[in-house]
Amino acid sequence: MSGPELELNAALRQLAASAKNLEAPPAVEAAVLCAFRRRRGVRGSRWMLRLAAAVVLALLGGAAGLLLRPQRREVVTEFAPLLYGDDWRPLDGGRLVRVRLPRSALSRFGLPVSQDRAAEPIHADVLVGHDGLARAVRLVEWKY
Amino acid sequence: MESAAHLGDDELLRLAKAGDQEAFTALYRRRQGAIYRFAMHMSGRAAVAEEVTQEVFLTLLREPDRYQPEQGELAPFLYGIARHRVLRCLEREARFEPMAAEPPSTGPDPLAELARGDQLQSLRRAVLALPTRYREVVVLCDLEELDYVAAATTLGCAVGTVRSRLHRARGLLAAKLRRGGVSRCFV
Repeated sequence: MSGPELELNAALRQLAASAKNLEAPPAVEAAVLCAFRRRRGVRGSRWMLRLAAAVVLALLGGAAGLLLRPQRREVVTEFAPLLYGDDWRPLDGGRLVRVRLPRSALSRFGLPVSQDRAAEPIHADVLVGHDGLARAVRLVEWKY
Repeated sequence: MESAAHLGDDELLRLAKAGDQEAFTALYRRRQGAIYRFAMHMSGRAAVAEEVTQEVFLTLLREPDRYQPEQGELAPFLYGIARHRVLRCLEREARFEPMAAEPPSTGPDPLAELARGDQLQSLRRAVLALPTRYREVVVLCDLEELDYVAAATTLGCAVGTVRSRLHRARGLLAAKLRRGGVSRCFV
């Protein structure tokens, strides 16, 4: 490296050193940090808004589901009397018992049963007299 | 701030992206001086340097994922944004002809205040008078002391290009200083 080049290098180093402590004024830092906080705030509020929107939608969805969901209602048939031979004792009271039994059991009461659905459970109300005998039965179903 | 100061740039940026203001402040304070000086040396104007410094960090805030650590360190990436901004400012200002009767600027000039000596002022003016492609390598390599690889990353060119431009830039500087009558002092 020649003498002039060395001198130029030295001068450049001197210029660099003279500016070494030069910094952006505090106003720039304030502006940048303000933007950072604003951005973080926006991101935070966006997150909160998303959460709030999700909660509102879930609540609305739940309410709509309750309102629009078809209501289940109970449907019962007429009571079918259960006969025990020629014994026609009058029913002087009793109680109603709801039971769950296989559909095939209906044949014991003389009711028709589809063989395809014989294993399916079914609900029934059985009218039981004071003497403990089942006197009548009705079938229960739930429909929408 | 003490706890964040010892962390690397990438870690600070990761924390800042997650909303950690302390990390972002530490990163800003670590890097703002170099960006401001680069813009100041390139433009010679404090207002441009302030605008560029602010824009560099706002860009980092808005688009943090533009920085890819596997492509280089954060400092050259920030210099790259600063360079782009400085060039835009210089182009914008070049469109306007100064009014003939315009009085000289009375605004503060931090570099002029620092480089009070005639020789340093002459050198500073000579650097500012260099064509942009030569000025930026002098500012990055000689004044900001980046190595050639980092300078090449900043400029988006080959290391050999940085070397050749720097060689040419120093030759131009020497010639300018000789013509300016300060060769006896510096060159």
